[in-house]
Amino acid sequence: MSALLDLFACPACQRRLERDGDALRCTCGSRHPIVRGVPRFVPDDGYVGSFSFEWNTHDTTQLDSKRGDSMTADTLRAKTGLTEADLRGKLVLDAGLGSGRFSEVLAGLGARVIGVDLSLAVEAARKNLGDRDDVIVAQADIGRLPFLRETFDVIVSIGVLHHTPDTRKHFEALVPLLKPGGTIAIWVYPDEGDYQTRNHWIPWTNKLPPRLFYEWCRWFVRVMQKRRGSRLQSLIARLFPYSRQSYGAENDVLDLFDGYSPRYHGIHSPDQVLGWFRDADLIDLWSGPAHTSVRGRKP
Amino acid sequence: MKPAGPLFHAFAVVVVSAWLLLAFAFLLVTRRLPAGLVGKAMLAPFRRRHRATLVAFRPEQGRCFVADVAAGVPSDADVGSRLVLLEDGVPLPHAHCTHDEIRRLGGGRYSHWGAQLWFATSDDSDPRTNGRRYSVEER
Repeated sequence: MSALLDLFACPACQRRLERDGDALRCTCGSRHPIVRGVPRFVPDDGYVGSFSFEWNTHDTTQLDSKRGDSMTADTLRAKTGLTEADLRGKLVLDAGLGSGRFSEVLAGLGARVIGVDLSLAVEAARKNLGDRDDVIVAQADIGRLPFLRETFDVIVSIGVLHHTPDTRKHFEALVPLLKPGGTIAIWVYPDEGDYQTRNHWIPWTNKLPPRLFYEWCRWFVRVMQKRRGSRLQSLIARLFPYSRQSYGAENDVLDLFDGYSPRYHGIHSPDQVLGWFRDADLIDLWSGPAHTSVRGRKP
Repeated sequence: MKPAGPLFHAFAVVVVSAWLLLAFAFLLVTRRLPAGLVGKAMLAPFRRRHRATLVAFRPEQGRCFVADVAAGVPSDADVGSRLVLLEDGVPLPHAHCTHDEIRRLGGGRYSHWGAQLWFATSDDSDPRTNGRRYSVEER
């Protein structure tokens, strides 16, 4: 298994973990099993069951290597402004890796990547990223990550923190893990347009059993595609915003389910996000064209 | 995941649609969703169709430019736009895009939002200098 395994630390006492058969063990007595190649630092997938379902159902829908395009690479560049020069040879934390779409691109740009996710998306990520030495996947809570302070050169978290119970608090939990001079880049849902409308629906849609809602999403996307360009479709899209991106029907189904099924759906203004970065004493702040995509450096 | 059978699929469509209709009624009654949208949508087919040539363009971010269009024409900010953007008389390919997509991906994407048209030219060139004519028409 990857040498990156040596970087894990006990979430409880912050000591380095030792490999002990199919587990990582701490001198404080805590034991974290490695199941199907994935170290587990949480007993279950907590409040993100919808993501466990989603990413194991659409495990390759957004992977550039499977799609044959640069959808994820383009998104990474647009939402973080990071280039190959910023990433080559760096140790990167992908906080909330889902099926591993961004980790795959980051590793492709020469980074060594640790991807963590609270959900069972780690199963899909592990399958997608395989046994490569430059990537390791772990199941862990972003609010209580199993790493020592000042471990990472770069931390990215795209479209994840707003799905935690407290976006700001979980952002603040990431900052200490950056090395001095390291870079953190996040994107969260903006407090505008479709995201505001969707926020009203979420308390209703996230009560539905995932499998049931997912089947409905498949039907809905198919019906809306047949009605594309009609007045009815435009009206529905305003009242019940859904993905109409040009990345294919499977991506639209995934995006629709993703948008309406999570337990938590935080929306934030660009100023609010910039404020978190300033309050965390990060410098050289960059705000991307996607407004709530912000990057900063630790002095 | 095993694909769902037709019975389960039909059950899901009926049950979830019913649940969402209930939610929709609640959101309308509590004014969390704009009730005026529905009325505007009903009246839209009786309006005269809008046509205009765009004359002034402002760079926004990335590949995106913004031009003013007539106020009052139904747009994606309310009931949904039926405006088509033409570049030298040829419709650009992607309407109803998010502004983020237009900025990032360009390639003739556009959005009619309020009294503005947010768009990228077909080759992401600058519409102020590329010598092409841009017009809109409601279809």
